[in-house]
Amino acid sequence: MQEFDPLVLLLSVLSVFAVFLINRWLGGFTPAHLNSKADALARLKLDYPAFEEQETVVGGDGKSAILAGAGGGIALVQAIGDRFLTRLLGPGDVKALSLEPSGNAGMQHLRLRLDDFTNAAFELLLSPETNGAAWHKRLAAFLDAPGQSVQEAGPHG
Amino acid sequence: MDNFFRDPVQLATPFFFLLILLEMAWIRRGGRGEYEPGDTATSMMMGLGNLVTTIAGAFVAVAAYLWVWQFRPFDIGFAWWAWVLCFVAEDFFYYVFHRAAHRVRWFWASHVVHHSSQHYNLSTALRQTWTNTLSLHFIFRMPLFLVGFEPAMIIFCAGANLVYQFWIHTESVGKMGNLFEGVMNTPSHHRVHHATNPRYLDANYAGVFIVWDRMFASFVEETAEDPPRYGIIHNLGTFNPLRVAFHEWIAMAGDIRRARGLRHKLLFFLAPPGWTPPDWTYGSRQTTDMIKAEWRAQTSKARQRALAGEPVK
Repeated sequence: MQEFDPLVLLLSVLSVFAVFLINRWLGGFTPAHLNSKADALARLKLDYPAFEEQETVVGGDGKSAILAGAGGGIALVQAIGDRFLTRLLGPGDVKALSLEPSGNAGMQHLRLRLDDFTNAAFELLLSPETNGAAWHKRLAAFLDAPGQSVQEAGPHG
Repeated sequence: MDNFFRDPVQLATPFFFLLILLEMAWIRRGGRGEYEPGDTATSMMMGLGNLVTTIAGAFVAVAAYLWVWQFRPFDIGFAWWAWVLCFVAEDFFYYVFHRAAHRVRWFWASHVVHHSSQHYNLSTALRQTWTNTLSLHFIFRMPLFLVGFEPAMIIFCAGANLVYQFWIHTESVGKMGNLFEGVMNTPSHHRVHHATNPRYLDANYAGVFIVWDRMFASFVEETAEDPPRYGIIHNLGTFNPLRVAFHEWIAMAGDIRRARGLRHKLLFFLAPPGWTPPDWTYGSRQTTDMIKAEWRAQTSKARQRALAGEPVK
């Protein structure tokens, strides 16, 4: 049976860090960015081809989008590194929900805390033209304990 | 007992690091593929953790192996033909394990880690589970001990099998000729295995020899019309190795806790990933069989034929 040398372990961790730095230095990757509603829908459709989109909002930073579907369904698209992940919300998937002014004129932050071990936080920067309150109301239907953990504020709240 | 269970994977690890750097440089010079630093670091940390946890848990597997070995009817020994036979037999039992790892949630909870990157490059090969021993993966190798192959030979062949599988995790290599593609597992065959395109789900479980997939009807050819999209059905939103390692175990434990009745609790262990009881209210999920059936129902026959069209060159 083999024993593990702590020095080998340390050198291995340092090697991983070195590869990480070399990867950053070499580049060749582009942080994921949503340029349009069509982008968000196309990415969602790869994972959920049956989703029938009715309304889409892409965040001001292009890092996330929220999509409303037929029958009250809600889907999320979110950047991670140079890729995206998608989620179709089910009952109880939202643990907390808030809508707050962002500091920029009329902009709002829609924040969700999800019952998702690998993706607990979702944030969307809403433009002044977006009806944040309506999205907030839609999302409240997915709270694990409706009426709780809801925080709503701001000019469109 | 020193070096009795010497694992070729540990000997090869420095070369893995070197080849990853070479592939990165190759891609920067126009080769096919992508590396993203967070994803790369996560994959490599998972590989490192796999080495540590495999060594830490080895006593469990070794105890089980040696217990079984005492009942062997033959002493096969170290003849050259025994090495060949052992390597081929070990690869067959790898196929059986790998198929179970995709079709039984208990094994998938461990194996999902390897599929959790949305990238496909040499670093993905190192993205390995930390819960091998917990998942009882080693039981699939026990028939080799029971028959009477030498333990050191089996361990070496298993390690050599994994070392072979390193280089096939790349987009930089296309098709490799009919003869080689017909017998061996190749980058093209394994890209299919890592893809989430409905047509590619649950295909190409081979380790070294693709013939097992051809024999047991799980082979799917990569086509240019259906480029692979990598990852899992429910992709991860984290680069945290701890969360990557344990996310499916935690999800499974939650499902078992919420399930009503012993039968449903057992099925959350044993049914395919994505299975839920008919009255399940904690989010709808799909098994790969359901995804494939839905895709076939929604996609015209002409489109299905087009996607299955010409093998990639």
